[in-house]
Amino acid sequence: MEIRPILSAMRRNPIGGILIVLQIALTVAIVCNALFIVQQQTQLMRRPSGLEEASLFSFYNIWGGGSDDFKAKTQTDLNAIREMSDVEDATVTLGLPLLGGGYSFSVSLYPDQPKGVTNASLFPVDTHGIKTLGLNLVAGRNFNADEIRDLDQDHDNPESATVVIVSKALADRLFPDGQALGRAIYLGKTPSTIIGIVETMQASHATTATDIADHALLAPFQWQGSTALYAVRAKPGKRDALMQAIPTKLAQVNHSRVIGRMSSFEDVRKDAYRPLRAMAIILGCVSLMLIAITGLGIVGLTSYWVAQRRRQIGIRRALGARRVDILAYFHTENFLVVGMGAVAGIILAKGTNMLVVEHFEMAQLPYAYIFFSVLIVLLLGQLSVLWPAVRASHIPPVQAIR
Amino acid sequence: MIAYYFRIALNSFKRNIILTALTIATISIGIGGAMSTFTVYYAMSGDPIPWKSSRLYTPQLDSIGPKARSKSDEPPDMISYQDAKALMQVPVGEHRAAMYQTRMTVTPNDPNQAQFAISARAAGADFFTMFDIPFKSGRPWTAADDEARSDVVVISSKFAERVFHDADPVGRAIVLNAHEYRVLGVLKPWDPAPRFYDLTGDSLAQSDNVFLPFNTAIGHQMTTIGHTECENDPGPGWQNMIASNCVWLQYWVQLDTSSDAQRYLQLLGQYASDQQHAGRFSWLPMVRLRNVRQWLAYKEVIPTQVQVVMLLGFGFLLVCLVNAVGLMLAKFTGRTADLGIRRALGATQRDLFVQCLCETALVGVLGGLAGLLMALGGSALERAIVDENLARVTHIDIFLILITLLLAEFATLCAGLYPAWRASRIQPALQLKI
Repeated sequence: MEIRPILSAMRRNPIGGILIVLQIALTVAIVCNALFIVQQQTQLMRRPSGLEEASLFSFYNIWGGGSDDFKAKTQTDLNAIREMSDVEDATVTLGLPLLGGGYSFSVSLYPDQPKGVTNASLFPVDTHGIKTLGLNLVAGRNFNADEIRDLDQDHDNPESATVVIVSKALADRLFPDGQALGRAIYLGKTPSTIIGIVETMQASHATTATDIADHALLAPFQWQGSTALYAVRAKPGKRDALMQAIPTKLAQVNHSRVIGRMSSFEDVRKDAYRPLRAMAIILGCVSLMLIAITGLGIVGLTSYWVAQRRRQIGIRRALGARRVDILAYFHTENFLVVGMGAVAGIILAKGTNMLVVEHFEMAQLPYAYIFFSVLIVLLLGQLSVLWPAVRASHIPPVQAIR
Repeated sequence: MIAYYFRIALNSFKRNIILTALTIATISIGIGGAMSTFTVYYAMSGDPIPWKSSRLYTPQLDSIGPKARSKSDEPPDMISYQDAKALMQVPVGEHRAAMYQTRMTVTPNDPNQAQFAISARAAGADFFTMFDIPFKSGRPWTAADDEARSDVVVISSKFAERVFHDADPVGRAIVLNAHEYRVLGVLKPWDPAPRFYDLTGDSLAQSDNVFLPFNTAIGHQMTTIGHTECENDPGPGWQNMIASNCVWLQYWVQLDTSSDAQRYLQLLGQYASDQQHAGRFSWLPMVRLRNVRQWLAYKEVIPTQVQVVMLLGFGFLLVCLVNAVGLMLAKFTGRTADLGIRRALGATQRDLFVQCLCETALVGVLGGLAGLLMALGGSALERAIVDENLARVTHIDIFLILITLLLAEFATLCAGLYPAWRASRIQPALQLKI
């Protein structure tokens, strides 16, 4: 296949080629950045929370106005819930991973460390916490009943915990030597001893910076405020029935209360990641439409070239070129133009990514994505040129003398 | 003449229906894609109180110190109770109010109805006048009501409907937190987005259902449901909490002139260093004074994702335009014969150029209309997948419609410049030979 005639044809009439090069370059730049962002978002959405998500649900309990003695009431509630046949276990806390709430602490290795080592979410739970949430305790032990203290609006100081259970990610961050068990950390002025480590537990917000997204700790407190978050783990397959039954049951125990935002953990996860999912869907759609538009553009411009060159094609056919030669001509031409566009696209993609990284704290674009997008546009080009090229190859040699 | 050009353009559309339709489709998809990403950005970047945003300020001062601060070079976003009390005494400023969000349980008058919980906002008396909040009926509370810790509330129209149905709630009693409050006024729907006066949590959250005097809420020891940031454990009980340096209040002040603002910042700095000298802080004083616009920018209310998606949306439009250039080029080249005849009959190059641009303009109008439909469809789809609050504030208004149509027209004309110029350079002799 001779490339020279293609090049000289392009030099004589460069504008169509330039347009395709430009379009391909923009498409490559946008598609590979978009696909990369989609991939990053999906990865974030796949992070495990560490909880037993399928059978867990939670709701807020707000005691009616003027009531007091929240401690006894909460305990009665918990006992009533735990006695239900479909319940695996239940606990009272202030927040959950992905749901939000709880406390946020700067964790230090000694008192009065100016900025702390890192940040972590703290959730107060009683001895039932680990089992209710379905956390996997990989080292150490659970809280003992005599370690559980009261935490209420008047004594709202979870930093006074003497013992804590931490997520493995937090343990490793604080003690890179892997010997976290039995060591002391400081949430305030007094030491808290790490007595247990759970495999995974996410922080309270999904949008937290990724380096502290797995930093969570449990402290041995029973929360007794006027507003509390009840977490309940159902027996397998019983969750939905239980979510229906619990409000009635609790209304029988004590009428003066409000139950709010009852939601399964699956819904909590869905809500937490809704912005990420929305962005992934939008980017995916934009990329697909972009590829379609670019393909159509190539079809349009090539058809126009074919129409323009009917005579030349007829002459070539009359001089002995076979149909396959005409086909090959247009495919090679397309390959050259799209290839040039792809090279420009790689540069543009890297440039765009550098801008995005600088302004939006996103990761570097891996070359695999660029390579993949280039492959897509090359295939797209060959595919789009097929129909006009076949039509061109069917131009009869007699066109030469018309 | 222009009318004649538009008639020619319509004829040319009929003759070249596929290429024209493709061009319009390309432009409309590009406009639709770009605009449906822009609507979200537009919803979030709006000025929630444009007539006053440069005169409403929120003061910040660092009462929690370098260890507890989330940013090393900025004071916390909220202020403590004792600082709010002190700022109320600053002699500069038209209106001022401290505020915080809390929760109340509602006991309906009908005993068969279940209790429910709602979010409420405790605020100083100036809250309503400072933010120009419209009243449907009744009146706000006065500074005297606030001082006297009166049990009075102002409620939102939605809440009024829910509890009082059709009756006029003004002057009636309502049981909140097992306490009787008297309804002073009902607001018209008022829901600034972003909720600039309280950006803790979701910046697009709805405004509250019930408003009550700041000092009433303090008197009832109602805790905040927003964030609280402390340097140290404040110790047990409400008195310790309000005496502490913990920050949990929003504070806004209206300063009508820039010299007032300067004076206020000066006094704020003076106050902070007085507090430092009095031994309350062991760190250097740090104060800021930001107006609504500066505050929204500082708090970065527009998420990164929305910005990136919008950038990509406009990149997408660019690709579609490049595509449209190619299509128009093809179309005009197909028209060389009749353009050549016009030229031979005496039309100048400029005439041909204007004629081609007229045709392009018509494509732009049609592309804009189709693009508007695409944008409407696109943002409806978007509303279905983004979170509830973002979906609530995202809507297409007359301004967005205008922008869509103008952008389509402008973009199409830009894309059509080169094809039209090329078409106008035609050599009549070459065309007439055939």
